[in-house]
Amino acid sequence: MKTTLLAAWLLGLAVFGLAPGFLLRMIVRLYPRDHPRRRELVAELYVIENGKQPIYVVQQLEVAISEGIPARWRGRRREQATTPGIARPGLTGYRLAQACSIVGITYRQLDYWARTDLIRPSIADARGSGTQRQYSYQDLVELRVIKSLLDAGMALTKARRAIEYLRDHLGADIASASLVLNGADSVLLARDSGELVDLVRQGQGVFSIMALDGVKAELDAAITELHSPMSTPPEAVSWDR
Amino acid sequence: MRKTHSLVQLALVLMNDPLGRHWGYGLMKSAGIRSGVLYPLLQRMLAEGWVEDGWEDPAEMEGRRPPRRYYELTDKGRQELGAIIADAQTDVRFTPLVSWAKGLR
Repeated sequence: MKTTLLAAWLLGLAVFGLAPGFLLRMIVRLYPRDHPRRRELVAELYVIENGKQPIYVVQQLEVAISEGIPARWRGRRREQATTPGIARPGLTGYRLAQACSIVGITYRQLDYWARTDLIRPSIADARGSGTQRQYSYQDLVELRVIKSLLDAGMALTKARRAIEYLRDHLGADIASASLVLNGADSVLLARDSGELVDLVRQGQGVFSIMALDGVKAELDAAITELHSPMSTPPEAVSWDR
Repeated sequence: MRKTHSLVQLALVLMNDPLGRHWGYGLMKSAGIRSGVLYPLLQRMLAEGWVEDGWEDPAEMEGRRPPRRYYELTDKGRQELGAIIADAQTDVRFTPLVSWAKGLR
């Protein structure tokens, strides 16, 4: 009995005193996989004086239980709510190879774009060797937009300016925008407000869109009024849009 | 945000260096609040847009350690926290805190 107690005490001492990093990495696993606190709490350990590390580690157990486990529950509920089999946008990361094949670009292109800050993986950037870049769903959308612009013959510098404008002005709604490609030199963003914004010239050059379905509705109404004794407007008026 | 001792303490420490970068452990130590209280507070401040976060750039770091996450006050944050501190100075509950903050450096 005495020896087991002694062994347990020694084990406790060894883990808390000699391997606080190991213990802390176990503790942060209470957080969901993509939670920033996982890296944040471990990184702080390395600036703490040796003597205080065990106390810090034990304290993190509290925040991991009070914050990490609820975050996990919320994550699980969200997971159940979405269709199984489809990656949850915004939650899962995509590794380099996956991002390449989903977007349809080469590894070299993706690497070059990351190194020149066109698109950096927003979930996990490369930190030295041994770490994986992870692209978010939003990154993939942006990559796909860039690829479409390049496929349309646009130069990379112009595509870069266009995507920067989109990122600054639309953020996560990037996929809700409609782009109008105007030759290889200009790309226009059609906004909900009915404006066309020239992305390559950083938002200079704003045109207005006249919505023609409104014109058509007015025209239809006028025709119906004209033919009011009759039941419906003539077939020829219902244009296809 | 409900004005608690921890919030006022954190506000005082953050506003002691309103333009600097703040780190989790440093805040725990100088504000004297546990991480179980600190991180949820920071999380709410991030959500309100009072602070912004970022990660250290590995290229600028010396020594072998992982990059840390930092927090910086935004303009809005400086305003809001300034208001919280101004309120606290007239509130009897927080007088010991305010005098404690005078010793911060």
